[in-house]
Amino acid sequence: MPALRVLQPGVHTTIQDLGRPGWQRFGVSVAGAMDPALLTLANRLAHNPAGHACLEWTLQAPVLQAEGDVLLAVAGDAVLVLDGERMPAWRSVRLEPGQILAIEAIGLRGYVAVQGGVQVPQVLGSRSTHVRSGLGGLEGRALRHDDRILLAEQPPGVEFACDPWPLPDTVRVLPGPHAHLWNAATLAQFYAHDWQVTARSDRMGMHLDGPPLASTGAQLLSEGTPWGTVQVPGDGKPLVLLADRQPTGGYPQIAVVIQADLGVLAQKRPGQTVRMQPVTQEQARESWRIHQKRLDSWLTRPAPPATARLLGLDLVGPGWLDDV
Amino acid sequence: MIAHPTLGPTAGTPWNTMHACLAQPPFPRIQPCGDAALRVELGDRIDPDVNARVHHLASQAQHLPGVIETVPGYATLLVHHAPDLNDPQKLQREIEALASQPALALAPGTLHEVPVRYDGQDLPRVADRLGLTPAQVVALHTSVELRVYLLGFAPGFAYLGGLPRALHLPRLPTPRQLVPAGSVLLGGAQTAVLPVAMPSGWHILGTTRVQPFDLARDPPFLLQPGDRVRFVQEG
Repeated sequence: MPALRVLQPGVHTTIQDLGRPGWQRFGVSVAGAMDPALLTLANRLAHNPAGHACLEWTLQAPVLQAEGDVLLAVAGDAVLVLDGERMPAWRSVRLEPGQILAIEAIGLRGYVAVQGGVQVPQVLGSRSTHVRSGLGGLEGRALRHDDRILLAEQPPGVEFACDPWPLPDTVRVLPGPHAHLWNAATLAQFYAHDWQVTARSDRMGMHLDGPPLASTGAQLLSEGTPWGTVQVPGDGKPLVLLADRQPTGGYPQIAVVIQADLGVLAQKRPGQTVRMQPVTQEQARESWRIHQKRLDSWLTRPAPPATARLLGLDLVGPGWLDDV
Repeated sequence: MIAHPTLGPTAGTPWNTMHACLAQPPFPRIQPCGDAALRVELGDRIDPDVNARVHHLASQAQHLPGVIETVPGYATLLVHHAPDLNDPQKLQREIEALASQPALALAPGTLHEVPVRYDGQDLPRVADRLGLTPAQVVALHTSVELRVYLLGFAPGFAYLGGLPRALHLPRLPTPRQLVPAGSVLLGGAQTAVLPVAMPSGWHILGTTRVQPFDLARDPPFLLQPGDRVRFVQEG
């Protein structure tokens, strides 16, 4: 069976698909790709259905060695290095047995798809990793040096490329269910401030720094918390709940990030700032429509093969197109 | 009054808070929570009847078109739906209709007797803080039937209600990095069995062999909302 050998795992690389919804009422987090649009594009470039399990990198991307003929695709801001050739990501690459692909991450998060998908067992219907509870992915944890990831038997297809997916800066929000517990001045402060992303942030939550928001004084009961909930814990500093969040929480919820902007959150690195822009339900729905339409119609096109391989092909005879 | 461009008239000033309280509609209250969920409030306190209605509503609402899943809280239900629903108002009306129906009486939940070895590292300090002996803490902890209000926080983790007031104790100021699975914990006004090794700021009273979460078992989640739990001293 073909496989990928992890030569360098990166800082926090986990196997993710589109998550395991449907089990939150049993305390099971949804997990899944922090940037679902990019996971979808990586899969598209690898000729996969949108939701196949991929590798998600954070901060630093892996170095992988092919065991077998494989087609890998990388969606995310990065440079690919193959046989000394450097090329932009946003493309798929055919690897021959033993070839090593190094991915130099530029964006905070990105995805490596393999044609046929990553073969790890499904847990409650998904291959997504939730490290906190040790579920899914490869043994419920981040990848380590020398891990071997099994792949499907799949003859590698044609290499494709696409334009980089745009990365907007604004984070649009709707008022949270407890927004009425704060006074106007505090709400204005929340919306006006350029909150700084701290290094404490991870797949569970984005911890923001800035002048603390006044406490509501309210004692709240635990309740469900959607992806993108902006909570305000005791220290007054906003915490945005992300893919690995617990299904329930008890801190006051001041706002909820709209679905279309969850990927923006995924790419905000420590030191960058976030400003919350209030929008209406109608604007949120329209944003989602635009986002989905754009994603559905994001075009891929055949990619120029890597130079070294091209030099190895016989371009004179009639059969070279079959090799490309 | 200052009107926020999107949020409307000022909320939360003393006059407005009072006015808002007077103007609050009776339960059930339903409003969007973000653009992919609806939040239903059936009450504002920990109450077994309110909670039973939450779970009843959850079991019905989860089958409505466009609903991805429902997440019960103590007195609220979060209904996660597809963000591209054709008619979100329709879903809201359907849920309102379901929530307004009188709830059927729930069958009494299963009673789980949970044997505990009360040898937790925090037991002496907890007893001291509460002005009790460790034996008295154990006696109190095993004296009541606790009710499962909801699951959350971790797979199979049950929020148990009914802990005697004499055992209420603030959590540790700094959570421990890793508490073993099977730990029987005390924190705030709650007690619980930790299903998975996790960080926790709760006090460790002891351990149990009972596994609230076991993927290899059918059912994987042992404790269900409405079930009752009684801790029993082992050995």
